[in-house]
Amino acid sequence: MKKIIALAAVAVAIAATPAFAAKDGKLSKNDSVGKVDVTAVIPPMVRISGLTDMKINVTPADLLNPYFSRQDTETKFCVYSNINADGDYNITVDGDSAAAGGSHGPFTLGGSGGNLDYNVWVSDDVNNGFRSGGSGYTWPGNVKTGYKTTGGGLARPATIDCSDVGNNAALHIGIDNAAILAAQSGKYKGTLTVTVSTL
Amino acid sequence: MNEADRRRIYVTLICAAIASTPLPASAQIFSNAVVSPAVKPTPAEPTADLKVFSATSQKVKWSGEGSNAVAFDLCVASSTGRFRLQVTSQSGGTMLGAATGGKLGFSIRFRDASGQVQEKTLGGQAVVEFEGSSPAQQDCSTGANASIEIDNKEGDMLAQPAGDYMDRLLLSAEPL
Repeated sequence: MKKIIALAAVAVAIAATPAFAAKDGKLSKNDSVGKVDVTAVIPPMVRISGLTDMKINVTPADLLNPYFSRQDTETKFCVYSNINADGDYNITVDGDSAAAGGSHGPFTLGGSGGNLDYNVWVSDDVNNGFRSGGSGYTWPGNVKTGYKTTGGGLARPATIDCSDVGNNAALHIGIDNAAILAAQSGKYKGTLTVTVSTL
Repeated sequence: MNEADRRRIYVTLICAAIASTPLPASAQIFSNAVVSPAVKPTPAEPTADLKVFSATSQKVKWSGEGSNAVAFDLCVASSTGRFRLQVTSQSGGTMLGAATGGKLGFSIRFRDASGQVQEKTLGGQAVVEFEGSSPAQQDCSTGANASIEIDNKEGDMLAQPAGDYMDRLLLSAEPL
């Protein structure tokens, strides 16, 4: 009897196979599932860029102007920080100073005629180089805290060169007229090193 | 009646039944047939197989420059040689910042057993699908044959605050 059944099965298979596929048209599916966990770690990062050299050309007319007792200039630059949503950072300005060590004395330019003191402000508000209330005033080695890339109301930059929001910080220098008048004529030069750091 | 006679008669009856059945009659043929369940000619069900061969949890610290990529070795195979791989992001298509709450976009590059590479950016959508082939493998008994690479673009990384950003991806393969 087993042989009979086997033969019958073959016959039915031959006749039925095309219709079976065409009619049903659906094949059972088995899903196979896996999972993976992926974590990207963005490290804390700060970067300063876009600083440019500053130059003050003093003229007699500048010194005679009764409304200004100081000759100023500033440069605007970019600070990128991803420390938090506000882009907080610390900033330090270093440079030569003839003042006694440990004092909050001014920076000093050097020239053939001697030294020339000048003052420095650093600001996280690109539209106010002195920072609110003049709080940007600094001296060599002083670590200024609480600065933000959003300090001037700009969005935190999403590019390391601030190409998306523009410069967001300013470095301002000023030489008192009295110091200029006391100095010999000539060129006075100095270098400032600006360091931004994570908190 | 001996055994040989019985066999002849039965075969004759079956053939007569087939010839007299109007077409289309596949269902009738199938339902009327005297078929043992053990030998019913059911086509094999297509199956897919998926295994993750890398550590299923990977954490990558970005260097601060360029894109950030992490790859998982997989096997994806199908008894039909073709499959659909569905990738579901449990964070809705972004990697979520654990502390910052930020959302970090990413793209997925899938390389199948044939070497074909496809890339799709999730862009906030939770599910992306790839179609691939496994011409030489019907299952994953012989090891990895594919990979997926999760890639964060530099611009997306710079735009987010520092921290850990995570997503869990569910991978599902079905035969085609």
